[in-house]
Amino acid sequence: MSQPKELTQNNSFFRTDTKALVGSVILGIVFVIACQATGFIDNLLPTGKAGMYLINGTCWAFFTGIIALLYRQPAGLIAGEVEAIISIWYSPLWLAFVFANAVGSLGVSLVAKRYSMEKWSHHILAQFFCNVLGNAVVFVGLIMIFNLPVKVALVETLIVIAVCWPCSTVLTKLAYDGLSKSGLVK
Amino acid sequence: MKRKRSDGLDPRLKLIWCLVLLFTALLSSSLRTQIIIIALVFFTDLFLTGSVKKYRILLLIFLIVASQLFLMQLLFNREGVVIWQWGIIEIYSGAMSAALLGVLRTVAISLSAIQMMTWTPSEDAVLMLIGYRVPYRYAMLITMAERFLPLLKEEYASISDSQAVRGVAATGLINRIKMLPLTVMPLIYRAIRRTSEIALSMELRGFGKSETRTFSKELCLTTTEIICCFLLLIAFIVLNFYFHI
Repeated sequence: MSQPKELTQNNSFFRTDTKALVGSVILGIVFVIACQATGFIDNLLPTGKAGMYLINGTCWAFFTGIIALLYRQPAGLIAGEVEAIISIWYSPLWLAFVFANAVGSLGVSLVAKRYSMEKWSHHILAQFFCNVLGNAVVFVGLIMIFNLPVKVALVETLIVIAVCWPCSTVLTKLAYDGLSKSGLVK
Repeated sequence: MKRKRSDGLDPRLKLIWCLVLLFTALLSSSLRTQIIIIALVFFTDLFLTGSVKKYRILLLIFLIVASQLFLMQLLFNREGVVIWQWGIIEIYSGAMSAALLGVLRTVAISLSAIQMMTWTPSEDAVLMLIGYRVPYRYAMLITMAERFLPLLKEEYASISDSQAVRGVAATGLINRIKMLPLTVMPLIYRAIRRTSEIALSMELRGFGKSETRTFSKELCLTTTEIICCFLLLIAFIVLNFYFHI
């Protein structure tokens, strides 16, 4: 599928124009609203009751990926930090999110700098880095903040990565293609 | 509006207070220390603002987290000796104290951060970042986030209502999951469109044209506040690395 030139040819890591900065805050707030909605649904699921936020994790990876792809850095970092700071009000793991959102976003941007993000394989790789790096930080948070046993935290993290990686890849690819075709991100 | 005692404090002092409480909660494995931190948050809030009502909305979140942590620790913690067994399920003596520590630490970390957020107006946070040499183009995004959060929440509610009017079911777990893309995707599209409009109007007003910017208010640390900052840092180092509380 062909992409607009603005998206396929601009492989720069940084983008510091006003639109990118404003976009990072606005989409960061959308990120927060979506995470609140998915967190509520996860709490109703048996997996959520066991501390594995699968829908919320997918939503997190999707937004981290799509914002970093649309607005690059430091917009990805700003959006992630907006989400992490506002999540103080609804998630006790906010401290882990401060670092997880940053490394997840940087992982996506590093892949986006190297590849055109036109193929499925590019999105699979970007979301792999995003999910693994982000959830690795959350793994440390589960041990340090929640005081969970290491084995339990590890199994939870691996399950979350296994579920969220494919789901967020599909969502990001479809949404990125949709946004590219719509012309909204020119 | 009645002025609170916390309004007169410099945000840098508030930040150091928050970080001291937060890292003490993280470093300490003592239940007593966690309880003292939680009590300190409540006492300082009562003294400086006269109310702790703002923490009520967190009660449900803390109850959910506590139930999750107790469940996980009771099922999977293997510290201590077996105190109860039923089939393959074994409960060890160390599970309860580990779960309690996790819950109290979670509460202490969340409360200290929320205290900092509610004590510090966004304008003060912007000035603090500028004081730390962050360019104003980035620092001013804090006030923007505060301004647009309620607007976008309203927009999300209106999109949800529109979908409900079109006949999309919003009750029940499966329906809620099905409704997610139908509400979140339009919100993303609207947010991106709004981004273009806001960015254009900001640039037309000269945002980012000059390197620096003036503000009507200036932050100034008083001598008492500087002494308080040093005392807090010394107390943190002594308590955590000398007495190992």
